[in-house]
Amino acid sequence: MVEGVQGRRDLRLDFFRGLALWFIFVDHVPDNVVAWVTLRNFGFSDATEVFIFISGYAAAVAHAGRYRRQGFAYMSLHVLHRVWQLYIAHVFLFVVFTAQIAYVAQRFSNPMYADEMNITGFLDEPHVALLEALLLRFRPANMDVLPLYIVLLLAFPFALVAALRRPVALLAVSVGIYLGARYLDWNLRTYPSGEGWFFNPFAWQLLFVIGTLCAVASDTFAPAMRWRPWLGALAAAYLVFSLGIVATWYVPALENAVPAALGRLIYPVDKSNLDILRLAHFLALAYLAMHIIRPDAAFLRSRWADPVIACGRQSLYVFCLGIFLSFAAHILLVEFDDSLAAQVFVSIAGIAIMVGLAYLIDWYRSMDRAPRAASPETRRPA
Amino acid sequence: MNARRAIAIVVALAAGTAAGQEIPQACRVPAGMMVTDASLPRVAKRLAEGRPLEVVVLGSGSSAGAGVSDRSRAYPAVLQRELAKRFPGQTVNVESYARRGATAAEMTDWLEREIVARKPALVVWQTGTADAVKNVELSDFGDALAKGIAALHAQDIDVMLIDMQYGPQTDALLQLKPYQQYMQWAARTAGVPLFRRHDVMEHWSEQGAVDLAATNRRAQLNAADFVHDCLGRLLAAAIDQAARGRRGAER
Repeated sequence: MVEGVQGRRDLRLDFFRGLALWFIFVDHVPDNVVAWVTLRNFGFSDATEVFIFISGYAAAVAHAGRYRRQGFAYMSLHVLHRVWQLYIAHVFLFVVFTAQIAYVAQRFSNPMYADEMNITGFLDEPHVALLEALLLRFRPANMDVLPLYIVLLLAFPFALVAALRRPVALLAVSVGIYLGARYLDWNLRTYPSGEGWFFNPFAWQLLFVIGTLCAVASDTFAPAMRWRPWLGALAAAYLVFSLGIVATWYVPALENAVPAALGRLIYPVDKSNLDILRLAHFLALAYLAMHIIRPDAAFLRSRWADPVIACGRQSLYVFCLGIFLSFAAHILLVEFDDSLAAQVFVSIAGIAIMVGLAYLIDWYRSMDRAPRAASPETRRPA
Repeated sequence: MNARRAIAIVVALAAGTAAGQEIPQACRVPAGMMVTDASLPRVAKRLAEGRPLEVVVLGSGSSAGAGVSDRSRAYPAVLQRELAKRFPGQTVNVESYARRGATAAEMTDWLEREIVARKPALVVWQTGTADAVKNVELSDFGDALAKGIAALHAQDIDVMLIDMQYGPQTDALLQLKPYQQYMQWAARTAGVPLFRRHDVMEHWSEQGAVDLAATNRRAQLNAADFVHDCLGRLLAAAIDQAARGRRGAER
């Protein structure tokens, strides 16, 4: 629940988080033509950056009040409760995923791939794989975001207190850890390869912290985020540059358009360690979005935006459902029909189910709250 | 004879659907997928001098012929046959060094220890899969590629890279894209040709030329045999093309 610091909910956050969740779902269905419309094809950063930043922002908004009213211990326990929910969600998704893999392995086991990729290797030693999964060290593909979120939230109570008291120091420490991740290879390890986490928490925490700071230390940072035409122009120019580079990845005719010297400077654009190009791309996007789309923009209240906003409001449930649905959609495409029409159909159907769940939870919660409807704090303006 | 043949290849590759003798209809891919600006000057030199063409295939499971009905049907063996057909009168010898689950860094060690000493004209280097499975740091992967290519070039050996296999299931479970894109970039900066196996296989699958999601053993064997056979043929065409300095897509 994102209650504004001043008590008014910023619909933009829910809208963009909801959109990010739709994108994450669509992107996670392999060979899906609908994935062409998502953010990742138009610039360096993608829906993950949006999701992590807004999660940091929302966590700060939700917990700053608790910290002020009920103190550190209560706020920390509240965060830990959230961590527990995420952990359970992760374990649940792991079970679903394992079932899918076991099914795929059984049905499609083709030595042409199995011998080379050995994706089902973990089924040979289920006891080890289970333990490693519980320790968050073993995460099959597409299951990397929740462990990142869990680790970030674990450190969040301290970050929140620092954000409220010494925002500049927090930013400095966060940037320091980010640099450590990028240049000293700080990372957590995964099983079984011993390589680093796909989303390195030491790098990605920076985005979460920036989100937190934007939410609760806006007094300190407002001057830096103020609208300046030249900065806006710079941000827009960077987005165009990024679009141009990304276009060369997808359009073979443009492949040689990136000058070699420039390429040497910018490649590889490293998602694991939140490449500076990705970070800058997200910040440019956020800066423009923040100033161009006002919190009271009319479209946020329109009928069309409402399903997106509902998904953003119930982000945890919708996120987990989205991961599950992307597995299911993939099986449907491979098993039955992988035509363009089928790709569009499963994408739309998946989003519809996500929206359905979001509305259902909204309704359930509203029933829950109904007897206390008199309390202004617990009710959002409709 | 040679010129006519050259034209036939270019037409077959560029038109995709035109009748050509070398590449069976089902194997053909759009010309764009086969384009490369890079050439294989050392191979060309050997051919011009009439010296034997020694080729080493270096790779992981698929290069060892994983899934095919018989090793003689794996793509390195097909490549040997097809190259011999394309360069009649020349000794062609394709040797395969393949190890399941080998990363680019492990293969670079192998290159430097053993393969460089054999002084082949060309190393066909299939890599990237194990790196994606193990989620090797992208920059480490890139460094290993650059190091391997440099070691070969230093010994006057040409390189052609091959990227990962496409599979409808595996694509859901692996993050291939960053590695695939980085290989394209590495190939370009090092000026070596890249054979886009992933895109080529995806094309076959989309066109219905092969059923990569087959569930019974027999159909799986057929699929693997088809893939390796076509792969060997297209690779031979790509090597031929790059060695003779022709481009597939001059439009």
